[in-house]
Amino acid sequence: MSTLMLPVRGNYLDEGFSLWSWLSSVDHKRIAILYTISITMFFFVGGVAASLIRLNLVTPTGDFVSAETYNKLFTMHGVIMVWFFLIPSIPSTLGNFLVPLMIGARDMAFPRLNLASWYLYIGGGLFTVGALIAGGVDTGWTFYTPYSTMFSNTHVIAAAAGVFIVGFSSILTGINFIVTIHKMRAPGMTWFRLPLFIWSMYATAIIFVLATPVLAMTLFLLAIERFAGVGVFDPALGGDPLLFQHLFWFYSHPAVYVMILPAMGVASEIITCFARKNVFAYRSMAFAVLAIAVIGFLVWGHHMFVAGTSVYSSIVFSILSFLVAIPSAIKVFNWTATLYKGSIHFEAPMLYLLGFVGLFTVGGMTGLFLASLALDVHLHDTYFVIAHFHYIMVGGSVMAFLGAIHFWWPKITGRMYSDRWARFAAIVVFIGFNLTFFPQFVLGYLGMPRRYHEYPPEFQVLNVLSSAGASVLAVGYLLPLLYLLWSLKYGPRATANPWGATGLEWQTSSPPPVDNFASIPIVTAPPYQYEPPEGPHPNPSAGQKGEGSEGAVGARDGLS
Amino acid sequence: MWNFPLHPPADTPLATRVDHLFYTWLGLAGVVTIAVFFLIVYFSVKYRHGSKADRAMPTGAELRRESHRIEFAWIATPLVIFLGMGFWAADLYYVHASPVANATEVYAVGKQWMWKIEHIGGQREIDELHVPAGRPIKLIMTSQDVIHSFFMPAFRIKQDVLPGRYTILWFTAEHPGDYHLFCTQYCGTDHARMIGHVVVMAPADFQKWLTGGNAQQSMAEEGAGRFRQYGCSGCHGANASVHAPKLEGLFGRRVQLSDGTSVIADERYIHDSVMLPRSQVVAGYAPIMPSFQGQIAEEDLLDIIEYIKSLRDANPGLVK
Amino acid sequence: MITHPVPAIRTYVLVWVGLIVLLLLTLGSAFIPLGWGNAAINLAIAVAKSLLVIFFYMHLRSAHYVLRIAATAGFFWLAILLGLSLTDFVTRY
Ligand code: HEC
Ligand SMILES: [Cu+2]
Repeated sequence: MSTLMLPVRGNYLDEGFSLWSWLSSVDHKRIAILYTISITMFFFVGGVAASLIRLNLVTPTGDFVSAETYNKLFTMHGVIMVWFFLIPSIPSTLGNFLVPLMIGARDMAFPRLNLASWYLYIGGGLFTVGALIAGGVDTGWTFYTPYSTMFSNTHVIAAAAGVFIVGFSSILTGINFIVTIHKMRAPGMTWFRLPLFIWSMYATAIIFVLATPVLAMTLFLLAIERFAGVGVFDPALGGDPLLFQHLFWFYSHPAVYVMILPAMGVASEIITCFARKNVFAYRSMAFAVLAIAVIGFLVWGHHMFVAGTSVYSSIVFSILSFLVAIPSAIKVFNWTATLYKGSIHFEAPMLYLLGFVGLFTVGGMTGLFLASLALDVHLHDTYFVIAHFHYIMVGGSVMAFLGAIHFWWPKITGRMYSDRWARFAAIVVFIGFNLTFFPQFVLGYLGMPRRYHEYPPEFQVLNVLSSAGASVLAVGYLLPLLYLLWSLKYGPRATANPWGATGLEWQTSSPPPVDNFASIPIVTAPPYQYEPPEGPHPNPSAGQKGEGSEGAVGARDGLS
Repeated sequence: MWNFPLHPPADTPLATRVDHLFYTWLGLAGVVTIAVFFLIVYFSVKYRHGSKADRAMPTGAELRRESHRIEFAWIATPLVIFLGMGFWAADLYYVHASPVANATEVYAVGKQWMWKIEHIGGQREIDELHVPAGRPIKLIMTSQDVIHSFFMPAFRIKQDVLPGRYTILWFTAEHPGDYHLFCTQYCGTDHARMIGHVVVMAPADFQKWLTGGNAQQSMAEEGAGRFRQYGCSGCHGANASVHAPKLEGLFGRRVQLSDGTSVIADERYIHDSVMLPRSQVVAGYAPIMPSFQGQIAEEDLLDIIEYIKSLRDANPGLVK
Repeated sequence: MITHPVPAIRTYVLVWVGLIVLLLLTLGSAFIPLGWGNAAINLAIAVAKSLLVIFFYMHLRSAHYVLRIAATAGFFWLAILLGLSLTDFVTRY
């Protein structure tokens, strides 16, 4: 530090190198990095659990691990991937980094609250990891009663406490986003000039704030029933187990949209940039995001069509579920239409995002199968459901998350990675993903139930295919870890705007200074004003090549 | 040795109808997905950076009008299709949820980690369900412990089985055969072993199976024994000195409760009267009936319920 | 920031006394068997208590309209939770 004699404050990464300078920083960009590191760790823990699951399912007799261990593995996989990876993934990392930058602010509205969110996240994580080290939990991530309250003799309360705590992290992050977006927009940044990523963060934040308290309350009730025998959900104590399911899914269904809305925001940013075209129908894109957030609250009953709810209620929830599919369909069509007459580049972020649109479409369409009552009676709790939601959450959210990391990596770290490797990894992930999860649709229709440690032999071929795909997928996820880390040290320096993108975040240096902008920008136009590609060789970002146009940045020439 | 099915057997009229629904969806989803993939690839090639494709676009008001028209089309079309498919599926679901009146009743109790089945005639089986082909069967199911789910993929039906409640599943199997039975609601360690067979038999064979079975007495007779064994008759019997309601003609009747409400006496009501007697006290009686929670197994209680049902038309005072 | 008048300590104390009185009412009503009436009375008392907390302790009586909208949204969502759950609970066989 003493060697840096900067007259003005330099970029945020050079602001301090000690561990404490990171752990005590209230700079939204540094907090985003804290999240990125911790989330990546949790992702690989959850991923190891997934690999062991797939390994066990190679044989129909489940020879690899015992039934107890298997049950703990899928519980751990679910709990960690849902609450410690997917839900915070894009909002806490890229959202934290980008929301102030994209709206032209110097930080979040409540920087200290932001840091507190991270500590809550880590605290909850430690609780949960503690429960796992102490012997694990075997209830499944859904914690269904009365199994979780009266029958499981594993560490349910500790795990639930971890989830309870991390819920508060979500709530605080949500409040921070809402207030920041309402109050801190740069002059001229009207609501309809906001990038769609901001709209998606806003919708996500609303869900955080309105749904998470219900989860906290539900887990609390679960804990007192288990701990003190107060009858709420257990029929032997006069409770109703379906009450738990109603409360749980009132949170957890919107939570699914917490996982996908940010991915949709990312898609709109990246597809417009690499198609060099304004997004098709900006306003309906913004309203679709809000509609998904609101209607997403009205559909939770579709998780309970065979649970013993009334026929009338099932019909109501089925119709509402079809309605929520409409805004999602609009988004897919609009992204596709955005490509029309663009000038399309195929760097790695774009490959990830095109993959996202395709896989999300498959995930969304199969969701319609499940919203169809009579079909859900057959498909519920089978591998069809597993395949469906992995198409949404892995094919959708994780693809978009990876695309986003690649897209904003130069901005976050100031370095370029090897685009060649990145494109290769994107293709490996796409292939591995489909190989893993497509066979599960077939398995599901054949009737293979989820959460099965062993299965009838006729399902083996498809299971082996799926496990083989999982190993390809694992390679696809390890590759970015390697070349991205490599780029931190050896990657060429990035320019301020290597992709020639339009957002405000690209108008400041890479990595951004501590205060984000030398002077607060004044916004005069809507987002995505890419120049219409006139001739066969449009040159939209000419003159934007900054100092370090050598090396990999030179390879960006395809873009300029 | 090559055992690699891609489609499950379908053995009920409902299963065939569900398959039609499924393949219709598959067609629709296939068309949409292929269209999206095709357009992405097509645009990617045609409008790749540097291609000479024509990129002239309408602008201003014309663009807005154009895009409004397109947007309206792709909001309205899916909406109509979705709702149509939704009603079709809801109609089938209604069939699934409404057992026909003349169905043969069979009882099932889920228990970590087995299925206990009992036929009206008293035949009991574990992890196997024998049924005759061509006759509607109605399963009345409950759980001894956690939530389970009774899933028969060949019939395309499943239903969660809850403790403290009786849920129902009905079907008419068409052909003799041996089909999978799975528990699909995660229920603890050996969830994956809570599986079994549904054996559909020709009616004559089934009749033979019934008589050759292990039944000593019918469920109702069994229940009458339990009724004495657990001391119910000491209060509810004809000669009981305790002031307790008579159970003859109870089943299906409306019962007035002491908190002013009233309920129809169905299986659930009798179950709760025994397991949670304080929750519903009959008007005019003192709440002295003890709870039998943890003492009576669910399958024994089913026998008792069947016994009380058999008293439906009996004369008061018949209970010994 | 929109500033708003902060209520006097006296108001807080009075509200607190009101809350305690309502609590005692709930307790008392438990000893009078009224069937469905008990539930209705207790719910009404609970609503009154939350309104007191919301308006006085959470200062919503004098808050900016955006804050009031935000708070109302919470109730709206609670209504969704209860309303749609009831589609199940009141129509089960
Ligand atoms: C100590 C006496 C006693 C015993 C033993 C007893 N009951 Fe009862 N039972 C009562 C009384 C008193 C009532 C009415 C008050 C109430 O609803 O709790 C009653 C109510 C019932 C009802 C509701 C009747 C109605 O008219 O709605 C049923 C059903 C019932 N008992 C079944 C049983 C069964 C089955 C057993 C044995 C497992 C049993 N009881 C054992 C005293 C007894
Ligand atoms: Cu089970």
